[in-house]
Amino acid sequence: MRRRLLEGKTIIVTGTARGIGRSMAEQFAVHGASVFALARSATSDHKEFCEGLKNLYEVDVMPVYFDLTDYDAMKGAVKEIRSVGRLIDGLVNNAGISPDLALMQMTTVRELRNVMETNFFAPYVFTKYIAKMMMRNRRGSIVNIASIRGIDPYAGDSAYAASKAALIMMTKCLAEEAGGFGCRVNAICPGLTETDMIAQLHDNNRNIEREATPLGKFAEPDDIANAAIFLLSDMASYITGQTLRVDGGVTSMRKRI
Amino acid sequence: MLSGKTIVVTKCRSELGKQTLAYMAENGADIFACADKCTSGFEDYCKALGEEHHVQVSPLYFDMSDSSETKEAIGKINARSGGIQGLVNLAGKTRETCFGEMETDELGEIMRDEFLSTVIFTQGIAKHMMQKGRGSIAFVSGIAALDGGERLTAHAAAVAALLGAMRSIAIELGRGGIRVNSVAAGTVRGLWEDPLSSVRIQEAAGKTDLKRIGEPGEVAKVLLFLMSDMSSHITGQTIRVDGGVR
Repeated sequence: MRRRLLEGKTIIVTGTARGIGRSMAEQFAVHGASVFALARSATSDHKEFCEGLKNLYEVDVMPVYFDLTDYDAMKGAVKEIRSVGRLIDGLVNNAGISPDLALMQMTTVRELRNVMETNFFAPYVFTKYIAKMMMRNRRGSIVNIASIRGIDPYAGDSAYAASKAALIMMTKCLAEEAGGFGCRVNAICPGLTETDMIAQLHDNNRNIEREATPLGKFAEPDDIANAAIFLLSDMASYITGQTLRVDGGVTSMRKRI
Repeated sequence: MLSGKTIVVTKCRSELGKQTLAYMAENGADIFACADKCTSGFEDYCKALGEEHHVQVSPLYFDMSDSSETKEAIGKINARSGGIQGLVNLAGKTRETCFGEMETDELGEIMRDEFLSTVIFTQGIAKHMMQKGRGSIAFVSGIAALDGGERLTAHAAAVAALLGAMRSIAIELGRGGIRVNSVAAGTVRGLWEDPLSSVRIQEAAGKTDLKRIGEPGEVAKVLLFLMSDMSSHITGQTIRVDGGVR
């Protein structure tokens, strides 16, 4: 296997401002890929981050800024990406939101719509554009960052869990539709990962969650990035329609409530 | 990706076995290549791999269904200074029988060959891994373990048992720093010791999203991923390498 597993590939990643997305943009560059690093707002921090990767790893790292829930802006962004004239080898739908826990009876329609909009509709619509380009080129790998919550039920997280379950089913259906065009589509289901999202967890809850994980630790963003590199690379050339849990071996969330 | 590691691979004489050895050696691992019997072709293959990639590829011959031979082999493997960081349990033969015609002896034999011997061997290696606090174990089976299949009652039951064992071992050994996963392969050339008929290949290819059967290297690459630190937070999982079977 080559040391740089994504050498010469061009990958689009959404949600690269922080957390898992930022780690992915960096690790993809480390592995020799040129990266379209998508984010909602053009901050100087993000621009410097992209510039830094470019210089360090001698690949192109191209920031593209737009709000994924604004479909007109999305259309413009797709045009911008297309105008660079590169064949796209990979897409990672990573951007997502995780609302505060709330029982179903306490969840408003507005909150529900909001979660579905960012976690499901946005990647669905964006993937339509990018998958079309990939299928025309008869190659490509799409990775959707879902969550173990999209598989294991969890009281108080119905909206988020449903949005991720929807993303997983989209993954499987598109795998069927795109397989004949040489494109693979898979999902990664991270367990709790050391990002801003779990920094908000109460200490007591952190300990309970850690205790329930056979490996006794949470995922690092790089663990998720490595799984994505695997699925994007030729190492996974016969894997499609799958959901890969990167969760330290958590079997069921239910026991802990 | 594996430099500094020593990996044990069982049932290496199939095409998948050879490809697995090649990927591990190419990525810098020293290897114990286990097989049921010594053939000159296999011996030469291991030697050439070792020389090409400057690693040790040591063939080890024993019958996994024989408990004293297996014990002896485990002893030899565990005697290695520096310990063992990886174990890949490949699949052997698959035998087909109609459910209605299946005999008790046959069912027992298949359970012994495909389930019991693999778990016992793994126990012997894992005990030693635990002392070092680090390791990765992978089981390879066919997707029949999850989906079942015509004329595959005994085989599917045995490999499904293996998956149950895998998940339990992952929970028990997680705190010891050992990851345990499995690969469920679809129709892949050279997965078993027997070749596939062309009718079968065509039929199987049509049932996949990618519209082709798999190559042994495509399973070997996933095993490389599972043995490497790239998968350091993945345990208790079964990865289907099947081209998307419906």
